Amino acid sequence: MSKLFPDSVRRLLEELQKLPSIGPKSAQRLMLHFLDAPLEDVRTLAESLTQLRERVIPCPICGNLSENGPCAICTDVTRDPGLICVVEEPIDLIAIERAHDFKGLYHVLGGRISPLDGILPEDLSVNALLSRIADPEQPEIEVREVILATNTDVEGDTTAGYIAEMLHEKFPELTVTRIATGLPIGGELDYADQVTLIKALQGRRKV
Amino acid sequence: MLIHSLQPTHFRNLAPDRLDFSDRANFIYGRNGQGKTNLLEAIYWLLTLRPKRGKNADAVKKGESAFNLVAEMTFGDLRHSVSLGLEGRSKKLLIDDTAPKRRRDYLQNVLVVDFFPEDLLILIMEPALRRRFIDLTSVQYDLTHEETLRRFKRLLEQRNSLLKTPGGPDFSVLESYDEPYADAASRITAARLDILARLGESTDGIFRDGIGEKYEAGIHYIPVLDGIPTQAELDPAVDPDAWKPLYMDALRNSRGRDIDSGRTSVGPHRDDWGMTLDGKTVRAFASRGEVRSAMFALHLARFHILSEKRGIRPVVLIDDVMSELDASRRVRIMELLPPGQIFLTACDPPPELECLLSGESNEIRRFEMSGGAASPVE
Repeated sequence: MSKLFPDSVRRLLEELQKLPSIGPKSAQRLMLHFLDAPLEDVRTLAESLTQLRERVIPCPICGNLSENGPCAICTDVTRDPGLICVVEEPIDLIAIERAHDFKGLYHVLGGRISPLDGILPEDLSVNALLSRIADPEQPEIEVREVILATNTDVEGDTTAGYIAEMLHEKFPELTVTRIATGLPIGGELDYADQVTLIKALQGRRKV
Repeated sequence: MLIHSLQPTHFRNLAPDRLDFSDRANFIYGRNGQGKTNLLEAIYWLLTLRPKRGKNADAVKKGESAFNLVAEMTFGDLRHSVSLGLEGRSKKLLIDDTAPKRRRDYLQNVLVVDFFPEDLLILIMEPALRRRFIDLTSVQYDLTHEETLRRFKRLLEQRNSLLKTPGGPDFSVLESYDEPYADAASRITAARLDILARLGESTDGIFRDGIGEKYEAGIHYIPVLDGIPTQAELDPAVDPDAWKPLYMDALRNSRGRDIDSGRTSVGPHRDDWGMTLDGKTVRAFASRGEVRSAMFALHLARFHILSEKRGIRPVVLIDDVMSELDASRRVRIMELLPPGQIFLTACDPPPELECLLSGESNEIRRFEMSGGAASPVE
């Protein structure tokens, strides 16, 4: 890095460039912004970063982001505990929540099975999901359906396949579903690729 | 489709001059190592968005970090300006100064059929070359097939990595790869059989009646799995899932062996195909000239299949492969190429090719290539 910059500037630029999608130019722009911004704002940002690491823990029930104990979704009594939607990461949960339609609970796996990256089921919260469905401490909750909403790429699909198999084996009565894939709303058929069309046809429904 | 002009920047050794092409025949002459092949490679990049050989970065001029190709082209009945840049791993495509929503929308409109000297190795060297040829042709035939190939490659890598887990893989995890793997494997097998059947249908006619060879040319598939046909037959109702149950069974049965070797033993990545002349394999028995004619016949068959399916007249690239053929074969091959835009390189101008096109002499443009610069020859 250029010797033009004083040490403290250089150190900040180095740290900023470790962030996802921040290159040298963006880092310089942010650095200049921090120099210009009111000191109070910069302090608040620094404090919130530290607090993020100190306070945020995974929800002990579903793995969603939380502070001290179960998350806001798990403690919401208006939601249906009989319905569990399995996602890879908290960001997927946020995406589904943004649609304001799903009223059940979630289970965040914390990733997906990918032997190439050394990630196997034991690195994910699969066992937590299984014990959650038959929780002896909460016999009054009966889980009716598990929706597998992992991504639709190779890793997401195989993870869903693996979990489905585990669930069928342990809970033969449980309904296990996979999130639908197919045509986007407003999409034109002749623009869709082969794989999407095949999935859309396989996932057709009666009207 | 047509390429009217090309201006390369930092593409291998090519000079950054704008070249204006003929809509019909473009002959590029020059000594070896002057950049004739590089010019054809630039056109190949432009029409496929991938390298003909080597890695992406190999096409960037030494000491530079990016290349850019700017072309005037006609496709979809309209004239467009196309710009393709490569920097690091990122490709940037602009059509009329706008990035297309999907690259496939552009690729759907353009088509290239190429014949480079290294293609002669396809019929005689390792199976990976033949698999690549047939898979690339399948993608040109149906662009959406690329997604299936990509999926299969990823599934294979993941499964192989799992097989190598120290202490052996978890069987339940291994099993979760069976269905998606068998699905992609079956689709690739079906697409290959379909393309080979189509190639087989027209290759023999081109080889014997067109080029004038005396043997009967045949194409066969060489699967690792019993039950997959070795003689591809054209089936209009081709079912891409036809081989899925077979692959599912094979995956289950080979699990122990796969764990021992740390590799997946069944799948289209292990299959091969070959060509025969009067029932004898080209790989073992054909002369150099016959291999050359066989490969030309195969490429011409590909030309016909692709232009018919896609409804586009492809741009033809022929790199220095005519020179070793005798004059009569050269003329016959040229006659077999339907009218369209051709780029052909050679050390010396082959006179009979010029004669062949003499009726359309105003449509021939000649370039002399020297040190990466192509100068028009009057």
